[in-house]
Amino acid sequence: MIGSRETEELIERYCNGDLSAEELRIFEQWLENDSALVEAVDQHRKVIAAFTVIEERTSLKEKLNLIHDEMETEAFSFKAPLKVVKKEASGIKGFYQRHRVISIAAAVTVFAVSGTLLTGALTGLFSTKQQSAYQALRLEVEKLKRNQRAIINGINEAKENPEEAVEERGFIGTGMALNTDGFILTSSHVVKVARKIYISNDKFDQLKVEVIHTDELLDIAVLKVTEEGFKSFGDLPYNLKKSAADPGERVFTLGYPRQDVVYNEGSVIW
Amino acid sequence: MKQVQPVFEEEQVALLRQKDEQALKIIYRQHYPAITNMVVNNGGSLAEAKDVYQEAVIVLYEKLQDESFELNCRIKTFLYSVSRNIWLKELKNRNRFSGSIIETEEYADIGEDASETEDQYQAMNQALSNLGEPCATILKDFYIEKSSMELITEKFGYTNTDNAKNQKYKCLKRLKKLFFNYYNNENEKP
Repeated sequence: MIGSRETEELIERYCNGDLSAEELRIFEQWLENDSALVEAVDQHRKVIAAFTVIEERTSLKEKLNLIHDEMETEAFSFKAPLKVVKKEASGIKGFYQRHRVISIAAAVTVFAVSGTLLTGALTGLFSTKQQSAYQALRLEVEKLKRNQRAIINGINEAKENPEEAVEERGFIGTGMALNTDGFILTSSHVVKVARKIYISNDKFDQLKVEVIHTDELLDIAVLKVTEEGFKSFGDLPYNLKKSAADPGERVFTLGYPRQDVVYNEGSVIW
Repeated sequence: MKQVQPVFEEEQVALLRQKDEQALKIIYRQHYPAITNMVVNNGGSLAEAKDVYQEAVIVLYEKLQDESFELNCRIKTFLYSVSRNIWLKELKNRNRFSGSIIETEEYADIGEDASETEDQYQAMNQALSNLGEPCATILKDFYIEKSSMELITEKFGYTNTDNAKNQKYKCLKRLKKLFFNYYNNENEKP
């Protein structure tokens, strides 16, 4: 009888392909003659399928909640690197589409250079054409060496009297507001030897700031506005993502090494 | 030690197809800000954004289980488009839809799922919330965890396997009844 335990168990074994050849033959005969059984089989399949999907959704949802909680917890830990998340700004969208992985480009360059130098070492096997190319390359390298030495000398001179060198020129670097209360994130090398630091942009003229935290290893410094009368930056046009950035995530940088903004992009590699 | 993580989208998609939890985590974390941004910018709360986003991630996950399904846009675009559909529906339900939303990402036209199976799932959701214990756990143990009837007998303290089988039979019968009640009601609605 349909609906009895025996029939239900038979239907289940039929759906799972667990019937013996003999049982299957009888069951199929029954199916041919009883449309109610056909419907019961169909209903059984529907229910089991829907049940499986919903149970899997429930367990997936539990996993997602765990991932979410972990992400939220990390948001309060300072170990996680901070990252700027841009709000809608259509002008920059185009840049996203021309993304590339900087690390790969760099790796290819290194390979090309060492490849050339290696061939250079095997002089005996050279044709004259290659030989002249090699000599040209050697001249290039010599020139580079001289330039490098000059740069190193310059750095060493500056090191002997760092404060003077810095004060003479003044350093300009780029920073970004961490929140509206006057905290700024910048690179520690920007403020390393500075005595007085000011920030400015096109909204406000100059604000006095002080370094409140530096991390030489990560090259990070946090500044705070100490200008009298300063209250808030007002609304910031971006959010901070508080969790760690993931490998492969596309990132971009905006810097102001000169008057104009300089844009760069790439991917997080580790 | 940092685990090796899939960097490229193709890798992430392939791993998610295999239900890889690390890939799930990476994808979840990567696109959460963009979708939250859209919901919050269009009158939603953070909690609502989380619900919408999780629903979209589940859609992606389920779609990928179908081998014939191919993701032909970026993961972010897919998640954004699905979330966008869900959120538009929600806004319409609240009568707060002004005819357009503030787009914060690019989106693709992703058709909604065949509503028949989705109706079944909704009916099953309702049925399960009314099924009660120990039925819910017995059925889950048997059909999802693939526990043997012997194990279930022991876990629930039945005197013998046949008693447990009888209980399972009653539970499934009850679930079927509840399910078709909700499903047929749903279908009769105008």
